[in-house]
Amino acid sequence: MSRYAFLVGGGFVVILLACAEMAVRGGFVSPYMAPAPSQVALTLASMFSEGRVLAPLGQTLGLLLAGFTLACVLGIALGLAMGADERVYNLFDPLVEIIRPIPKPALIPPLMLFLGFGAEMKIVIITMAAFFPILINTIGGVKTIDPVVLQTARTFRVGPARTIFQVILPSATPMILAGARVALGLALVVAILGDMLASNGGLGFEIVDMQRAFMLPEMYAWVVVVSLLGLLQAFLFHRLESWLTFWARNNA
Amino acid sequence: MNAQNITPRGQAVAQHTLISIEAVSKGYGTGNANLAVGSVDLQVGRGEFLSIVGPSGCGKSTLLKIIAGLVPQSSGTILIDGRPVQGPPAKLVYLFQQYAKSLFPWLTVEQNVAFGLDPTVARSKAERHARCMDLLGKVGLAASAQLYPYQLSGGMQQRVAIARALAADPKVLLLDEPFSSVDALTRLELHDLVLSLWESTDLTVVLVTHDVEEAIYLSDRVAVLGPRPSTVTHSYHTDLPRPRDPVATPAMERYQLLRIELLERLLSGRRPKP
Amino acid sequence: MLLAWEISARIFFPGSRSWPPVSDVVVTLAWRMVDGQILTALGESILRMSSGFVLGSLAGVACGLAMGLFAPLRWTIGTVVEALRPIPAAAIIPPLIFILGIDNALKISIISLAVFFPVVINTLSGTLSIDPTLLDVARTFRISRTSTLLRVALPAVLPYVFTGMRTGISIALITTVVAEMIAGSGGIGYYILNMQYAMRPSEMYAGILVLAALGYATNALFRAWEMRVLHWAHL
Repeated sequence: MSRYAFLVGGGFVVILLACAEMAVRGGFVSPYMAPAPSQVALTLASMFSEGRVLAPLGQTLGLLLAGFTLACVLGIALGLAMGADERVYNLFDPLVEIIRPIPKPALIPPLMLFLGFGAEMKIVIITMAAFFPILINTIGGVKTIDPVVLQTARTFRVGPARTIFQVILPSATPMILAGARVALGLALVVAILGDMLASNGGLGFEIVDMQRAFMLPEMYAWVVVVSLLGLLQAFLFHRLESWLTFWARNNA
Repeated sequence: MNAQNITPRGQAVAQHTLISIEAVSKGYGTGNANLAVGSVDLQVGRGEFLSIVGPSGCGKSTLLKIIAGLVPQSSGTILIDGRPVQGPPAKLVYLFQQYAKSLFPWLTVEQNVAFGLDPTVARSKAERHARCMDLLGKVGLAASAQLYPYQLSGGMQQRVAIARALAADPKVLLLDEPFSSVDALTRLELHDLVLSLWESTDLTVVLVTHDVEEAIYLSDRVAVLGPRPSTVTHSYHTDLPRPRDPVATPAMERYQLLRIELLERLLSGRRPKP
Repeated sequence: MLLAWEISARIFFPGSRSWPPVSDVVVTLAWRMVDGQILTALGESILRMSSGFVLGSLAGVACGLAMGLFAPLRWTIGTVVEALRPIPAAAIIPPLIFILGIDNALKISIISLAVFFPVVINTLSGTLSIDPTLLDVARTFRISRTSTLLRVALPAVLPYVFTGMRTGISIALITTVVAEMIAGSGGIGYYILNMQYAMRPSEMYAGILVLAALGYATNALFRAWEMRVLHWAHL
């Protein structure tokens, strides 16, 4: 059934694209508003064959990976500490509550003042955007562990390090991953926005650059590249999630 | 025990058939190859309290859902009052095993009961309120009318479900293991509640359970379903005096004999022969 | 922490263009509130954000319910939703500028779209996971189909809708700021970026403080509303 549904869905997407194609070619939509899908596809193909995609893609992807990894490490570490120890929680909670509600894109302008327009600024803002969902969910995941699980570990006289890595961390994994999924989406948004505002390369910059130059097929081609990156990212994350939390599936 | 304690109701049973199950089967998969319910023949008298017992997975809940018109049978017919069942019939109510899931969590206790009221019978708001409070009084929950389901214990939730079922003014009540997930004492209380409600009306009750003692204690008659594809293998009249008593009734010899007999039937094929 | 900000700015970065003392920021905030600069920008942002949130939520609930109840819609529209969902809002603002201009039409559309995805996904999964027992109860009481939809299905899905909207409301604020930065013509996001270009850090930080307050307030208000509506779900 799911395969069948996938075929129907794929067919529907093809039909939609065909409709868009006809709307542009038939003159119903001005080519100054949107190019024909076939034209975008051709542009994309030539961009790939000329190797023009690799540099901006690599740049954004590298920053994304660096920022997201950093956010995961920091978020999970602080989250474990805050979730497991009441004193650490009370120490950091006010700070978290103050910074968390700020929409992270708003921090790009001040960061540009401090760190300039380069990679440091972008990595910091990506890390900040991704950090909070991971932190909050890690705290939640640790705090909602069934006390029976912890008591079981204690009756077996398991040491603190083993308790953290073999009991607490695995139990909290489904929630941490749920936070990381949100974080990954946010990271991509601020990565693109950072490119756009700093105007020094990367996928986001290519999009606004083509927009300002009124090169619509190129602009759409770059949007397609970003979309594919988003799709690929979501797909890979989904695989990672089902691989790491296969045991939680029936308890959900 | 002397004969006066046996109510006339208990004896009048089986003279007028209300529910007639004829050669009903239920299969799954292509061509119904995987048969869950074999060919079941069963008659339920007007006003009778019938229990169906069987090993888990024998399709007894499926049979009950077929009677309720919630699941279509693969073959055979079910007549209630001479009319074939196609979809949920009027004046028949089904009490679900998962009482916690069967109550609407967003409605108060009273609103949940009001859900079962026939809107054509209780028209005015005052009338509906009075009817709900009357029913809640019967199940001993008048004081909890404005609470929400999550604020009630399991036994109380099941009482609300019973009150809601009665709100529909049913002629037939189908009980699908309704007492299986409450604690033992609460279960005894609910047994007596159901019996007193049954005795004060002309309700016909069909109970599905895997608890042999519960079946004997409550019923006029106990039908035994065999393993898949299940058919009715045996049927026993309990012939125990009413009103039943949670202490005295299980102490009777007849009760003990029935219990041994039914357990032997259910466990046969599972226990190695000596 | 505020003290650390004040002292560090006064001692280590006196006269800095990027790190003004917090007292300056607060004074600036007060002035810009009085002269209406920040208030106007804030009003614009709130208006966009709330209309985008409402439109996106309504569309999300309608589509989610429809997709949950009719499998063919799930196969067609569902695939499109799944394909479009991972696209970051920031990337489709530039192409949308050519179609919708840079005014409210663009911003409200992009905010609605960003809110739409979490709401539709949650509503759909809520509709698919309605407990069959509840629907069976409605059937044994012989309740009509429309009545079942309104009295049983809709309330049962409501907690999922709220989960989607809770994600949606913080995404709405983020998208508002992003849209105002990329297609700037007013609003707090534009104000912050503009003040950075103009080298007026106190104004810039004042804007960020206002945004933080807005984020905090929307979250608190939404929580209160959710608690009121979903008290029975025993949150």
